[in-house]
Amino acid sequence: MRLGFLFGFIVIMWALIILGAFILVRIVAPIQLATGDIASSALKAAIGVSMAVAWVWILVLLKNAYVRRRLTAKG
Amino acid sequence: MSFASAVTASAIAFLVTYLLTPLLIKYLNKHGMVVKDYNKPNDKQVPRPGGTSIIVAIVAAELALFAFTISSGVLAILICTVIAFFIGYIDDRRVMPGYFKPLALIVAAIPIVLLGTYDYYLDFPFFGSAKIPLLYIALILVTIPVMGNTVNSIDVLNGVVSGFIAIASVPLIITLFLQNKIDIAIAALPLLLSALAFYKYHRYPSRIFPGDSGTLAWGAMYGAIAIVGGVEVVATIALLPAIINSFLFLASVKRITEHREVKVRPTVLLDDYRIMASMEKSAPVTLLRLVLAHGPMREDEIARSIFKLAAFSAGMAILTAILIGVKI
Repeated sequence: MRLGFLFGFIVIMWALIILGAFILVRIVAPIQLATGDIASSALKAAIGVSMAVAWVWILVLLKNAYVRRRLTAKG
Repeated sequence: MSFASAVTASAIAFLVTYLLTPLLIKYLNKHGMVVKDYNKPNDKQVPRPGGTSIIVAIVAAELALFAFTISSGVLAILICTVIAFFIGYIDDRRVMPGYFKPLALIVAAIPIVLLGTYDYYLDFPFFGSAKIPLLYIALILVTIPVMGNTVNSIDVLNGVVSGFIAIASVPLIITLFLQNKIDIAIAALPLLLSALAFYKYHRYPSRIFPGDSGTLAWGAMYGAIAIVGGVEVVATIALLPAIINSFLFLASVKRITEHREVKVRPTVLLDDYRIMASMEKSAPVTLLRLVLAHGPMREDEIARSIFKLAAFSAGMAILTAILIGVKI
């Protein structure tokens, strides 16, 4: 199927958005450190940014694997 | 009242674009405002920019709607769209560096902040909302440039960006009606109708190109509707094929730059005017290159493939909108 990879890529991105929502809303948002609000917010922001980097890394790995398989005949 | 304003705004957006674009084509041809269509034989020249007919239609429709509603949300969408059009027009007339559009589009986001036409909740399916009061203002200032440039980046072949925007705006409008945000849903209709009317002239073989003035106006308007209507997640999912295109390009070239500044092209034009994916390792990866991964295609076939992806994403976005009402 010509567009199979791209349909799959869209579904994976959608799933990552839903998973990200679960982690942020249910796990990260309720975090409250004893050291205060600023430390709590900094930790939440750091987790959010780390998650975004991890998501991008997963997508880049997928893209690289497909490009290697289908689009690089010469070096 | 809502029905009358919806019909009026839709009719104005469609008819003004439909009737004004042929006149604009004549004007641009007469004044030599044409660019080469690289995928056609005989050095075919196409008039550009068509953004003027798009913005006149959108402004007329939104002003009529504003007269009905006196809604600050409609006003914010209108001002944001007009600013984005002028930024695009500057880029159409002068060759600007790659950072110009993302930076300048921050200005287009400011009216939304100043008019306070947003709430700072992000609604997700299953898990409820996230309240991000301070972060949301930063998100607005990032969203308009990102949406504007993302839509601009999908303007790759005849008819693609106008058809894509028409498809992507449907889930936005459906979601806004489902959530009973009637004024903003009606404000989104001119986006769909101007794109549909412009598609008649932009589809393969194009008689006019929208230019950055048209694509940035559409992209910024799309982002403004998403923010003012509070349907950011649904809008993002409907836009996924264009987001994938920008993501793939940025992940390949690793900097913010114009496509024209990239040395190795992602695609190759064959003698029979079909387009083939480049097999060069150093060529940037784009949506177009991945669509062509299984072999060369004609330009109109590629556009149809991108529309299939857009329709699939639009379906996922509508599903998401329905699931937002579902809590686990």
